[in-house]
Amino acid sequence: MNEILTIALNTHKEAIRNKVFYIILLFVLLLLASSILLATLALGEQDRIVKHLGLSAINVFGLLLAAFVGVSLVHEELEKRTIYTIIATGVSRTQFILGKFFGLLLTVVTNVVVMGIILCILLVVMPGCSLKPSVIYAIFLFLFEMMVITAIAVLFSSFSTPVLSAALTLMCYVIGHLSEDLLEFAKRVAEQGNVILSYVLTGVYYILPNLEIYNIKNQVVYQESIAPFLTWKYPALAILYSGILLFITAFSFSRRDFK
Amino acid sequence: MAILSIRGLSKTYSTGFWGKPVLALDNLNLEVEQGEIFGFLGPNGAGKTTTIKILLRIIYPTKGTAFLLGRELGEAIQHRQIGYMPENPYFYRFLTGYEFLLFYGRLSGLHYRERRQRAEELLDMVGMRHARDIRLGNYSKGMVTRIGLAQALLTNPQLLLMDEPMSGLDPIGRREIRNIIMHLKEENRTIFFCSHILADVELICDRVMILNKGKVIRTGTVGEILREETTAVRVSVSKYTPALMEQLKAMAVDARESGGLLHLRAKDAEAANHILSACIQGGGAIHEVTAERGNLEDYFVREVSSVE
Ligand SMILES: Nc1ncnc2c1ncn2[C@@H]1O[C@H](COP(=O)(O)OP(=O)(O)OP(=O)(O)O)[C@@H](O)[C@H]1O
Ligand SMILES: [Mg+2]
Repeated sequence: MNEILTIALNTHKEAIRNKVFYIILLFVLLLLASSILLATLALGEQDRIVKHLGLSAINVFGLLLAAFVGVSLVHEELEKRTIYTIIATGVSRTQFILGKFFGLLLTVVTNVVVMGIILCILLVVMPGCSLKPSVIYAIFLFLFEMMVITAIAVLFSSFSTPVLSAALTLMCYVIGHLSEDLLEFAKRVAEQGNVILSYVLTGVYYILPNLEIYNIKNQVVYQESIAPFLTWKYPALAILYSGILLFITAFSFSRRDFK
Repeated sequence: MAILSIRGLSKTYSTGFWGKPVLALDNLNLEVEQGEIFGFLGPNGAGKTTTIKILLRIIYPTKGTAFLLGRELGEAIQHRQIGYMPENPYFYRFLTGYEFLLFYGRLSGLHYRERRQRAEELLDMVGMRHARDIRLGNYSKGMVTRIGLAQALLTNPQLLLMDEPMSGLDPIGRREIRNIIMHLKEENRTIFFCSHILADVELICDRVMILNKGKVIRTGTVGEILREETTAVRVSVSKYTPALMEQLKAMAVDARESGGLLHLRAKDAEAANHILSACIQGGGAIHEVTAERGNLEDYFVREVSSVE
């Protein structure tokens, strides 16, 4: 446990001392600032604009953080061989992977939470805006989506280069959000007689997580009911899915020769 | 019971799907006793790093096994009893020297107070106090080597595996590290020392093993190896006539004139005797006679190239 925590904290430290971190932070702060600017211009629409842009900014921020900081974390340890001395202290390979995962998750969560708090404050102080519990729940759900993305990033970075893993992670994110369309598409392809492609698409549908279940932005912005999303099943699913991914990562890591 | 015992260790690297497998280590056997400084020598690509990596379970052997402090590879082991200093500075650039030591101290299970205290002690010991709060990314090569040594010593290990610990150090740094190693030996700690800087090996190692292309060429104490090496005798002569000079030159394997002295190199003791008596008979004066001290480097170069 101590080992996992130590590596996690060190990973977190590494992430926040990374230049990419500040670039993403700057980018998102600009996005937030522009939402305020837009909101002051569009009278009567402030609430929607701030909620929509604010939640989007947080999504983008979390995703970029996990994808661009995360994917290099494991790969770099192998490439720069820092893993040698870690293993030499008696840390097991599974502990190492878990440490990396929790470290990255810690970075993502703390940052998403801080941005969430900023958004909540904005909603309270800006005229025409109101802070509803649904905003907080949206951020809460998003954290579970980030957990899955983080696990995906760690998996990819354990065997491929940062650029490739970033691309793959982003791809998983996009497909994960198009998950339902994918099934629809698979059906249509099958009707057209392309059975193989249909199977592939269906396979992808079942392998990749449906990330839309963690996205209630529209419901929040247009003040629709979020009742269907108020279930412990979705968070539990995210935990289960991440757990499986981590198990696969750790397993493939355990017998490997580090070059 | 040997502190480190390697039995029939072999390693074949598979290089990709179509690559030809590389036999990096071929049936290595060795025993290192407590308190020994064991020099593990070999040219580039000999398999030194491969051996250390197997011992630390960074890679897995193809065949054979090893015992560290009585425990076989794969068994639970007291990692605190083993210190490792990697070949090149494979360390986190974003940490300061002090943070770096705390991190490894914590990983090794040292408690809060203990790791803080050890980190400070070691910063002094390796002469890095001035760089305590500088990030490793801004260290010079020698500084990284020093902090790497500090890391290896954090837990006061019984067995130290050092992969070319002297690389990147200036002569002063090398002497300091050498002193630290000698000091560890006085504390009866065991050091497994990989190197190809033979001057350092000669000075501190009790026993050495020479490895080439994964195979052992020779094992022995430094003294044993050098004694065999020490056969040539140097004779310096003064007050010689040109005729005598020609005569002596013909008897030596090498001759050189400088500052009114004739320096001759006799192949062995017998040849030296002949040179000396010829010199006396020819009216020359013997200035100096010394046994040529062989060095490990000559031996090493010869042994390694003779195998090839
Ligand atoms: N990951 C790897 N994949 C394939 N071959 C490897 C790998 N690592 C090492 N080798 C090969 O194994 C042999 C031994 O390498 P090793 O690193 O153990 O040598 P070394 O004695 O440490 O050399 P040096 O003095 O240069 O550090 C070399 O021929 C090397 O090319
Ligand atoms: Mg090496």
